[in-house]
Amino acid sequence: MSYTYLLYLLVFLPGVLLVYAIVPQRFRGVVLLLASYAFLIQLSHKLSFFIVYTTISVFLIGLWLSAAQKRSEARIKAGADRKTEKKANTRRRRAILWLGILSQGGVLFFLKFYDSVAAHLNLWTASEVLPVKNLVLPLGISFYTLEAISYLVDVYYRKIEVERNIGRMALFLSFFPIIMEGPICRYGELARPLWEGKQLTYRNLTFGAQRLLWGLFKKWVIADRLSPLVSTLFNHPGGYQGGVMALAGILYTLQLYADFSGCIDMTIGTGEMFGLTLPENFRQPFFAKTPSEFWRRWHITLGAWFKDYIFYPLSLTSGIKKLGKSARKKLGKHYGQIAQTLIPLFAVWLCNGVWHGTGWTYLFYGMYYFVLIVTGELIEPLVASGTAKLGIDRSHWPWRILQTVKMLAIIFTGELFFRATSMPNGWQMFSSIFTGFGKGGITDGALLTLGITFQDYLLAGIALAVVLVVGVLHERGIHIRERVAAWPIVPRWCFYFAALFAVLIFGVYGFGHTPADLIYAGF
Amino acid sequence: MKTKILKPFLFLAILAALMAALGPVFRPKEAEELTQLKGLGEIDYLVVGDSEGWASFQPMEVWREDGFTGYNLSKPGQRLQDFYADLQTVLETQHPKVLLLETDILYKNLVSLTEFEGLLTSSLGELFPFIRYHEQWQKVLPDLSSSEKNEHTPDYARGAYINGTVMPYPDPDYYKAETDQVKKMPWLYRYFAEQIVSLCKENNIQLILYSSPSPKNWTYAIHNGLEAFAQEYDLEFIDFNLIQEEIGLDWSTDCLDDGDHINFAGSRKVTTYLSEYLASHTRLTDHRGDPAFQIWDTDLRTYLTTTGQN
Amino acid sequence: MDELLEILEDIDPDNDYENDEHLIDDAHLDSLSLLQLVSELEDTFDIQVTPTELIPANFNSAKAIWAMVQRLQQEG
Repeated sequence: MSYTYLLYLLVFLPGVLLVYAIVPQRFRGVVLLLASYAFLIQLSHKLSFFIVYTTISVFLIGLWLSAAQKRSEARIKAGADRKTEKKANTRRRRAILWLGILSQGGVLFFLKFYDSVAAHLNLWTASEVLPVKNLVLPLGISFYTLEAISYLVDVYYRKIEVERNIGRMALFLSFFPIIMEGPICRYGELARPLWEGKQLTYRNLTFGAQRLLWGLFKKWVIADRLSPLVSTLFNHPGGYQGGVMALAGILYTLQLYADFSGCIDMTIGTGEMFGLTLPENFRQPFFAKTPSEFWRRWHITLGAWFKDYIFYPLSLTSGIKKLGKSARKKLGKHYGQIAQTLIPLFAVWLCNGVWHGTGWTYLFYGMYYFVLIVTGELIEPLVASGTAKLGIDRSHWPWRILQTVKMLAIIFTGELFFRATSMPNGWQMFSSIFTGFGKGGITDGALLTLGITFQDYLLAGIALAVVLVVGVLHERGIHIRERVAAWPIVPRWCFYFAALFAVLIFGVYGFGHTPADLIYAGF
Repeated sequence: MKTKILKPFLFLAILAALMAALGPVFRPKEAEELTQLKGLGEIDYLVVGDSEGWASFQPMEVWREDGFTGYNLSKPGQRLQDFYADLQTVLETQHPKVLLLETDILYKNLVSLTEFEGLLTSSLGELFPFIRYHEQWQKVLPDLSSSEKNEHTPDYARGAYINGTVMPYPDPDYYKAETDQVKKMPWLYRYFAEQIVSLCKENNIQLILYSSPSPKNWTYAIHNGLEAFAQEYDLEFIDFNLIQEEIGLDWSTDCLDDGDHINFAGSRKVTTYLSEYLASHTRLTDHRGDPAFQIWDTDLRTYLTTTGQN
Repeated sequence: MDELLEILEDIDPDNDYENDEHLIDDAHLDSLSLLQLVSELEDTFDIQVTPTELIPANFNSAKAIWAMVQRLQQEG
């Protein structure tokens, strides 16, 4: 049972809300915790043990970090030399922090990489050095591991108070709307409101339900409708002509966006029902004009996590700072600044690729954005002086449209390789876009043989247009739900019914369908 | 305050009313099952089940050998409760005299959320046919992808699955582990099986249970459970797992996918046995040579050519 | 404070540091400049800026930066 099961939407979620509403406030956290573990266990079975391990170990290491701090302060009070004690304290606490990070990251890394490493080793040595075990990733481990590490780092820097209630920790890591696909939350923002058991309100329930419905629309009407088509194309990397292959990258990107952001809409909507504000994960990503802007609009919480816990800490290590200083002296301000960020940026994009999985396609995907972002920074002075010479106004619309189109091509290409079943297959698809063009493929009816009907195309097109319009409205800062809520009751209810029936009629669900998987739950 | 409590109920009431109203709009004029049977004339018997039923029975073999007309309504992943609803629809226009029920569908694991999801889906579909048939919106527009589809042609295989792939199963003696244990039939399937028993009684249909050979799904304890059920309701029960030597089943040539289903060669052996059984244990009549059933001979030729028997 | 303004002018002379209250939010200071700024602040004022200090609230205006510097000096 995942978020798009009727069982979840009509039984589990309403059931949890009901129990939550009738128990006294101090038990509501426990209700959510029990519901989350029930949800987790039905999906992950024995592998749920992993989250118990993370909860207990992170809880204890957090306490250890704070106890070390307390003891050190006590020693200073008792007259120890302030400077030496501070230094010794930092060293001790840093060791504890690293132990914590490795105890969490290590498990994730091992589970993700063991089979791939074993398979490669066996292949190279032509014998069975390590047995391939076909390890299965426990549900949500890629997401909650990052949350656990961020908790430890925040406690280390004393940005947040250490947690002394293991129930709160357990619920934060396992909260059922978040566990499958994030967003990646921060302890300081979510743990307390979550455990507190806020009162349900009419407004939160209705607004949350509307957001959930919007997510369901994206998932059922767009993503699941495009899904058979995308599978067909990517399973036959040499099977179709250039025009169709170009479409593959575009359609997969749209499917992924509808699937992932739809799921996040459902998650945020569910959180809203419980009175929680969860972090946004998408902000009209296709309106981005540069690769770094794209990553501030797409899977925002992952990008922010890498920025806060890899990019900044690495940039501020003394070695990198020294490097930056001497580079600025030798290369001038702009290139010096870039030099300082090269290593941290490389680490960020390496981690981004690796976090998605062991395939070479994911590594390529990370490096692709690394190269694009660094190149963009490097040529920025050239572009600035070039456009100035040609008299091009970079804030004017023709330039901005050009930038958007360029960025879309970059995004689609990146996702084409991301989804490809292997690097050579990805390359074959990509190169056929340029070599196989001109033979049609789009106009000769081949598109209707790829697993979805003309009606499906038409419907997905209309639904995507709706998403586009909503995106433009959001971009302009218009809050649709608030606006509609202010309408008189008749048009308002008509709007709600129209939205409901759009999902009920045009969604891919119900008889003859097994609920489709969520794409990002696989990472 | 009062309106605040009333409003959600009013909203839900209107929603339910709208869904009920949309039911007739979306319900197809002809059920899918009826479309399948269109143009085939009087149907003597029907076969139902999940993928085990789908892969194990070839109605065309029965036509060739004994001239009885039948259709294999089995679908992979089919659930008994859905089938029960389908059967009621079929009985509105057809009057089969025999119903062959493949038993794998009676022993699906019930304690799984996927099963509950299916149950919820079908009950919602019963309550609001609109939910069941919502995909019918596609029919409003002409289907550009297959222009011939609009003209109905019956399936020459009469619903059965034809696949000659061979993936041998290494342990042909699996069925010899005899036991006295009886595995209980899950309550839900027992309930719908009883519904089907009484539906058959009302309509004068002879109900025959059979188990396709399947080392993956079959156990002796399940056999005992089915035997007990058959005795309780006085039904005929043929377990091909136990008589596989008699029908000459060979797990090195007749297995489709490592002991889950039998392949086309295996299904012919099962069907031949069942065809003889129908001839000797029922009052079905031979329609061969009857001009009203000419399409059966036409489709038999297609069937034989396609399966390489000609 | 004057020292701070000098550093800022040196990093990007185009900004109005006296009045701009959204240096980070409006992307007048990008992350590249931010890192240079941090390393110069550390040298000039003898402070240690931890990664957790790198939040918009601390860098949105010259005033905010100055407040952070003073706080860190006291803590140090």
